[in-house]
Order: sequence, then structure tokens, then C-alpha cells
Amino acid sequence: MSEMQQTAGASGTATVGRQGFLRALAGRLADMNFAVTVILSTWFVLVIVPIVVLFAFSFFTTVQFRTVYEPTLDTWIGLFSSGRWEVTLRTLRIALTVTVIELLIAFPFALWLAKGCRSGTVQAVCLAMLTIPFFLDMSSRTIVWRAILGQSGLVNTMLLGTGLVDTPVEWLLYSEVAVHFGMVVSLFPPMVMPIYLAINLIDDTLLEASNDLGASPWQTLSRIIIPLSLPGVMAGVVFCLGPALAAWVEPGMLGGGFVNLISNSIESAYSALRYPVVAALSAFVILLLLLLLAAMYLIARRFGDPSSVSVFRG
Amino acid sequence: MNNGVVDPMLEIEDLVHCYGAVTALNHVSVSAAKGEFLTILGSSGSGKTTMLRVISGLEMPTSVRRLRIGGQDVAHLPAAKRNCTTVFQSYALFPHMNVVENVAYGLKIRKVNGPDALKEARRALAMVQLEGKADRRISQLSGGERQRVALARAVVTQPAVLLLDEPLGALDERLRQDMQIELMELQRSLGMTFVYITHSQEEALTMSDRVVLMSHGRIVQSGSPLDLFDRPESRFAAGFMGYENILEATLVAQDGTLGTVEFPGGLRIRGVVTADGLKVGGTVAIAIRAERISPVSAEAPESVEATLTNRIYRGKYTDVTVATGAGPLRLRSWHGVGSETEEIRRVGWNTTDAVIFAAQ
Repeated sequence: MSEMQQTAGASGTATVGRQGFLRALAGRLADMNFAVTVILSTWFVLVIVPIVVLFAFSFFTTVQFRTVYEPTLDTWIGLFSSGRWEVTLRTLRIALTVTVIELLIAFPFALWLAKGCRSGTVQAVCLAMLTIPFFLDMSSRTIVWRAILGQSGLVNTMLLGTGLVDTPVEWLLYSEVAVHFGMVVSLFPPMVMPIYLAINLIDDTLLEASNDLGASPWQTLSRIIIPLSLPGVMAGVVFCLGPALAAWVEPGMLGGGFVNLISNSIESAYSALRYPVVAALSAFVILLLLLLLAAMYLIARRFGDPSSVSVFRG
Repeated sequence: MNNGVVDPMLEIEDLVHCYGAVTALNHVSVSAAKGEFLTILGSSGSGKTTMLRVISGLEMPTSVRRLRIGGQDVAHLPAAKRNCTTVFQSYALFPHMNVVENVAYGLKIRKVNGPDALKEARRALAMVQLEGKADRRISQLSGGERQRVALARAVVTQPAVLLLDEPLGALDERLRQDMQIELMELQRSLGMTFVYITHSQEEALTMSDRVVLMSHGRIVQSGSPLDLFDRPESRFAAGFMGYENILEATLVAQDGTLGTVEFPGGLRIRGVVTADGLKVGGTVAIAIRAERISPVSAEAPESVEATLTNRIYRGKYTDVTVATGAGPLRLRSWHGVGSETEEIRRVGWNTTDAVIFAAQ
């Protein structure tokens, strides 16, 4: 801002109108700085501070439903000595499996939607369809699957009716398969959207240039499209992996108590009013996510030439 | 018109291309010899870019009788398999690769091993005087430098034909003129066939061995830059090549290429007939460049009486308008020459400076 004023002052012959313009511009910039400050501090107060408080809470303990405000590692030690390793590993395995499945389905779909689909109408319809899940509450969307996948549900009725099976297929509901299925369905839009946007931003002439220089479609995919869409892929993975690690509706409704994930532990700790345990488990999920993202970042840096990573480094 | 080409690197015969109901290329035939600098000249919508895309394979033609590059039939080959590369108007450099990686791309695709590809790429960069910026990011380069990278990337694989799609369009005037010379020198030193697309007659005249003028998906005229400049065969060609005076008259006599036209007032002018099939007695057009007309004394052979109507000073030169028996004529003289302020009674030109072709 002071630089702006200096420029205005330095040009001694500048007309009044020009100075007025610069002053207005400086004012605008000052407003913008102000707005950015407001947004950042609001974000800090509403999002960062609660996480810090949460983290702090995990170092307290509960005695007879009352929180004891004395720093201790008891909650964290208790967390891992009470057999939660198994739950953690299961959560990780399911979240990663779901993310990988999403990526394998979403990337080709996003590629087709952004570059392969020549009809604008089809594209608009697809994008609109992808937003439909956001209109409905997740529980209502998920609970429907019970009626479809259950022992006397739509799928089993059809299978029995056509004589393909003699007894109802049991693993369709209240199983890990069902939980995976539920998550894949609900987390598809958050994976597709960022990848679609990233691929859509790739200039068509870059693909033509690659083709013109002798690259096969596969070479263009691996050397141009994938490196340039990495920022979108990273975003998609974050939007998918985070909710998958914290998934609560799908394991509850489709797991039927047979698939215990970290979120279920959080829930039961919460019902028992053991807030430090809730805090420790939540902090643990956040740490897991950060660890996974760091690992992914390193893999991505390995995967392409170093320059491709700088795309999302900025 | 292409029979004279020996050792053709590019042969196109009877090419038709339609976008839906729009015919972008209408039975076009072009060929280029080895080491020739061929320019396809035309305004936007003339079909010149479509032609380039068909040659490169980025567009598959609706129909073509023959499409060969370096003697190989490529009509059904995809772009990646054709022995030609393109310098795109927007350069189309890969933003996630640095300069030398961009240039080495075509080599790496062809399975040249890493170090060799980079060495070749650096040599190509040296050719365009950019060896010092091999490790820069594309975003750190100026427009002219990007242009050179695109050029190096396209020639490094040594294609039979290099296609250039208005590569100087995005550069400023000064840089464009420097690059024109550089492109010509590069083309000569490589001995590569260049097919250059432009809408600028100046670029076409400066750089090419041969110019193909296109309009509405058809070839209007093709020949040496001098042919196009001095011997336009149609009203469109004369207008596009910058003839200021195009007048309608009646052809009254033709002896070989020498024709005589008569204007309504009875004034007769002689000129060179450039078009075939003109009928004596029919309406034709006669064209003369403004800078070829000058004030003359009474005894000059090709001259007409003239009265000054307007004089505009334009910096380097002066534009003068005179009224004559043939209608208003525009003259152009360098500013500062002695005759500039003199009174004009007659204006004249060389017979060979006037060209006669069909009125439409």
C-alpha cells in the first residue's frame, strides 16, 4: 500500500485524475487485505482453535463422568492398550480400499466427461447428476440400501425368483462388502469433481501437440494428462479419504454392528461421556489423514518428474 | 499447377473437408518439393488452418484422392504416425516440463534414451539460440522465446515436413520481422520442407519460395511471391495483395498477353492480361498499384490526363488522389521527393504494371 502511495507521489506530473485512480486502487487493495484478514481469522477461530482444543482435551482424563483437567498421557496409552489397533487397521484398510476403488472408477469417468464427451448436453446432465447426492441427507440415502440388499430385499428376491440362488445371499448386507459399497456410492462425487475440473483445464492443443509429436494415446495419458491432473487427483483423494476415515453412517447402517470402525469407537466413547477419549480418537484420525497425505505427496513426487509436482506446489 | 514439383515431400490431391454442412476445403490440390518454403495465405475462414490440420492428421479429411508425406501414403494414418510436426499458433508447450524436456519430448516418445534425447534437445535449442535457458520453466519465457522452444521441439525429430500455423501471430512487429529472417535461415540450413500458414501477405512475400492463396476453401492462385504480387489473376487476388486501384472497363483488344481496355468516356489503357478466357467486348477489371503510378509529362507512353483531387501526408509517403478519364486513381510517392508539391496534369505507369483479369 505504501508502495502505491510512493508511486503516486513519485510521478510529480501525474494529473489529479490519475492520483485519484491510484488512491482508489490503494483503497481497494486495503479493503481486500482487510477482507482476507477477517476471513482468515474467522477460519482460525472456527476451525483451527477447536481442533487445538480437541487435541488438548485428549491429554485429560475422565473420572466418574467428570473431566479432570490435569495433563496426562493416560488416554493415549489407554487408546492403544485396549485393542483399538484392530479397529484402526480395519478403518485404514477400508478407507484406503474405498479411495483406490473411487480413483479407479472416477479418473476414467472424469477423463471421458472432460475430454471424451463431445455433447454439451450429456456433459451438463452428468454434472447435474453428480450433484444430486448433495440434496439428500446421507442417512436417508444410505438406509434405502437396507431395503435393497437385505435378506428379503430387492436383489435377493430377484436372485431367488430367477432361481440363480436357493437361499438368500447373506453377505450383501451387514458386512464389509456392504460398507465398502455404501462408501463408494456416497464418496463418488467428491472424487470425480476435482479430477474433472483439473482435466477440463488442460488445453486441448496440448493433447494435440503430444499426438502430433508422435505420442500414442497411452503416452499422452501418462506423460501429459496424468501429471497435469495431479492437483485434482490429490484434492479428490483428500475429499474421499477424509470422510472415509471418519465414516459413521455407512458402517452403522450397512455394517449392522459387525464392522467396527474408529467412528463407532468415537460414538461409544461419546455416549459414555468420555470426552478425552473422543478427543484422542478424533485427533488420531486427523493424524492418520495427515500421515497418509504426506505419504501420497512423496509418492506423487516420485511418480512424475519433479516438475510435475510443482504444479500443485504452486 | 503442381506438375512442376520434383521430388515432392508433400502431395495432396483433390482434398475435400466438411464440418457438418460447411465445406471448409473444396477439391484442393497442393504439393511441396523437398526443401521448399510453401506458404498458404488466406484470411480467416479461408480453410488454411483446416488444410494444416488435415496434413498433420489432427483432422481426418472427408475425402482425398491422394495424401502423401515424404512419399508415404498417410491418408489413413493417425497424427502420431505421420512424418511431420506442427508449430502451433499458441505454441502448446507443456507447462509441467521445463524447456529442454519440452524439446526432448518427441525424442523420448521415440524411445531415444534419456541422455541422448537431452543432448539432441540441447543442440536443437542451440540452433534457436536458447541453449542458456534449457532449464527454465516455460512460464519464465517471453513470447518470442516460447516461439523458439516450440520450433526447436518440432524440428528436433527431423520430420519430412514442418507445419507452421501462424507462428508469428502473437509476437510484436519488431520481433516478428526478426523471426521471419531467422525462420528462413533455419529452413535453409535444415533443408526441411516448411508449410507455413499466414494471413499476412508481407510474411508470405518475404519468406516463401511459393505462395498458395486461398479463399472460401479453394485455391485462388499459386505461384512465386513475385507472381502473386505483380500478376494477380483475379479480383480477389489483386485486392488481397493490396492493389489500390481496381477499375472496371471493357476489353476491346487482346494480342497475346497484351490487352487494351476502354473506359466509358472512350479512354483506352493497355495492360498485361493475367487471366485465361477473357472475351473481347466483355467487362473486365484492370488493376494498378498506387506506388507504380507517378506524375509524368505529356510525351510519356502509358499516361492519362489527371486532375488533383486530394493529397494526404502519411509520414513515410504521400497518398494522392486524382480524377482521370478512367475514374479516380490513387498514387503514392515517397515523402520528400521533388515532384511532391508540383502540380499534376498527367499520370503514367509502365504497361507491365497494369494487369487485366475478369471483372468478378
